[in-house]
Amino acid sequence: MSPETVAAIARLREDRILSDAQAEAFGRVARGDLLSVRAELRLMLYAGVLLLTTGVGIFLKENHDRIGPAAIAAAIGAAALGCLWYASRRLPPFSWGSVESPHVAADYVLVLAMLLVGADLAYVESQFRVLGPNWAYHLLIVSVVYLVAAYRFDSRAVLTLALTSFAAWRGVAVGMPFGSSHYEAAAGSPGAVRANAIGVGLLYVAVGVLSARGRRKAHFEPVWAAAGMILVFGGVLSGVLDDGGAWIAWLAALAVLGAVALLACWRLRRPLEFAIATAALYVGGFRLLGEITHGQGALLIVAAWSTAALVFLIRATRRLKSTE
Amino acid sequence: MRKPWAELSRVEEVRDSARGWKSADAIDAPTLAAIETAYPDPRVRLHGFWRVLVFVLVSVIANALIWFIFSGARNLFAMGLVFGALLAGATEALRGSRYAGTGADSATSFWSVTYLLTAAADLLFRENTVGDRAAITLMILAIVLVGAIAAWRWGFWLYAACAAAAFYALLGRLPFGRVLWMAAAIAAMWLLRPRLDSARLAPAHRRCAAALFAVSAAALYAAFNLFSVDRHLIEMLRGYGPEAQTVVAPPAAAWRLVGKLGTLLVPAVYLAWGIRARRRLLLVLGLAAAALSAATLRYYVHIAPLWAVLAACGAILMGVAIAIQRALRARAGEEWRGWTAAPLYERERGGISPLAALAAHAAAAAHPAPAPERGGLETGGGEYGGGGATGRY
Repeated sequence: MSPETVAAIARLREDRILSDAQAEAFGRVARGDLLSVRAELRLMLYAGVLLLTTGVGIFLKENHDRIGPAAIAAAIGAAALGCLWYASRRLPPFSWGSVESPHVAADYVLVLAMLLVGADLAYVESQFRVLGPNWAYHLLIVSVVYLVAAYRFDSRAVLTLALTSFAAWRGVAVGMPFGSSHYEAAAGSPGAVRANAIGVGLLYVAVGVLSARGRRKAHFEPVWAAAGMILVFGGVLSGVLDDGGAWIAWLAALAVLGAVALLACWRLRRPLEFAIATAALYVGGFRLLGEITHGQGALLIVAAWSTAALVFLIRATRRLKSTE
Repeated sequence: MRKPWAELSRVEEVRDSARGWKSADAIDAPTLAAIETAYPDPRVRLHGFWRVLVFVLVSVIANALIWFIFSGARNLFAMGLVFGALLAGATEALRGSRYAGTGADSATSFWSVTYLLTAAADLLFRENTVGDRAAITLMILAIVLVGAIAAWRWGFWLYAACAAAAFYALLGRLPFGRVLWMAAAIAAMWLLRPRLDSARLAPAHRRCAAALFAVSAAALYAAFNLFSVDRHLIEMLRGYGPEAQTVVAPPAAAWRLVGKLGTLLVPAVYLAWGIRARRRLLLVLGLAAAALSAATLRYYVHIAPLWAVLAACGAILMGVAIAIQRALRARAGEEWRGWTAAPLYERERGGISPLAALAAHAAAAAHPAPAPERGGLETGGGEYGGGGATGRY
């Protein structure tokens, strides 16, 4: 219950800002006479997905010797298909526009289905070596499956999984050695990982822009753009903070990219992406300040640079009028 | 809390509701503008991610400046007091400014509380002004006092929750700590319940009251829980933290019976109370307590392997959620006794959040042992990950 809102509704009704019907409907909720349990249902569904997937993970770990990999893979696959069938029956048909899901549980069951598919494919690959030395390609397969499902069922969450899996395939996230001759050259090389991050990030941003311009799942554009910007700025920042002598070139690249991103986000009124670019420039700036001053008066420099970033953010907010 | 701050807190409540109406398309943009004109708020309002950034930046600025100015100082107690007081002054200024709620005031208040408690810890432990046992008790008391004052003055619910948790820790150090927990929690919940909706309290203070209520409810459940009874979790608070088995005798049979009944009944009471009184907070507390009771049951009764229990609990949770949604939608007006599964006027993003999906992805990562190598392949597996997701092969 919100006593302030109850009083405000009465005042707004008197002032004819709200109609009687609106005031009646809003008042019922503000008084606590009608309460939505939707958030709690979503919490239960999410906890259910977490518990189920954790249980499956432990099952795979503990039982693959006793039951046998083929039976386990078949069981997980069957469960995934069951979930997918349930979700596909309840989620609306495909559309290039945004589709409102009428069934709150179907979204969660879809995510569960995708997680089971991913776990099953990983298990199959780890047990049967279907792809042999090119086993890392299974991540690409997983990301394609996720991507198709995300577009078919209009799920931003599944799209995020697809983008993460694709980035993982490129070895972006952890710079791990892929372990095959094909990738050995890149394994452990920060330069290769950085190039992958920047390349994949630029690809994501480009797809996001095309999505918005072509009005093809335009509401997915923020997911593409945010993921792309995090990868691009992460890659460039790793170059700036690297011990090598090329840091100044990376810093110049960061400055250019940051300026372009800030201008674009400013024009498009995009507070989240604006903040990502600001944060990247803020962190990158420390390298330059550190090199110039050689650590002299570090605390004062940190305070001054942080104050500059803070003032910039607050002033930008006022201009952007970035209300939630 | 100063009156103007409380007034702005009330205005913010109305404006938030209006934005919810707008996001549900129940009002149009001119109506929202008219409401915002009728309830003006001069404060800067930031996007959530920006507030985090501002919190970090202000934390860096405050600490860098303070350590720069006092770089030669050696007396931690005096430094803590001075820093704490300075930052408390900064918080006062920020709470009354148009930058209240931007993350800047949260940062200064947090560091103010931290430095004041650092001063207290230095005085009590490093200076050895009292014995260790008394020092621990006094330190907990300091957390209660500083947290309560910060919550009362600035209206941040997190400090109220910390103060309440410390208060229960303090009670646990007294004789009959478990009984005191039960009595204090029941009394606190009884006293706080009408204040959760009180128009006399500012919304920020109502949130503090809700935090106190939630911590008390958690304390009551902890006092009744069978695992807590058997392991003497509350009684352990009296000592320095040695293993309970070495200092406390096994619980009496009567206490175990109370524990068994409490583990079963407390979640049920919370859920029933929440449904009857239409209290979302109690509903969430009931669900959390039910989950803990299920974990307690699993600890004592091995009905199935862990994976089966987890998967079954997950399936049951999802099934119950789907059943509740169906039942509510089947009712006239899609509501039952004032409950509905419709989103009403809350701002809601479609579907599961991407970050939540990534967290679930991390939980889903399978860890099967690799199959034996065949045919001299060099592939040995590895790890992958990104944006919070990880996996191993």
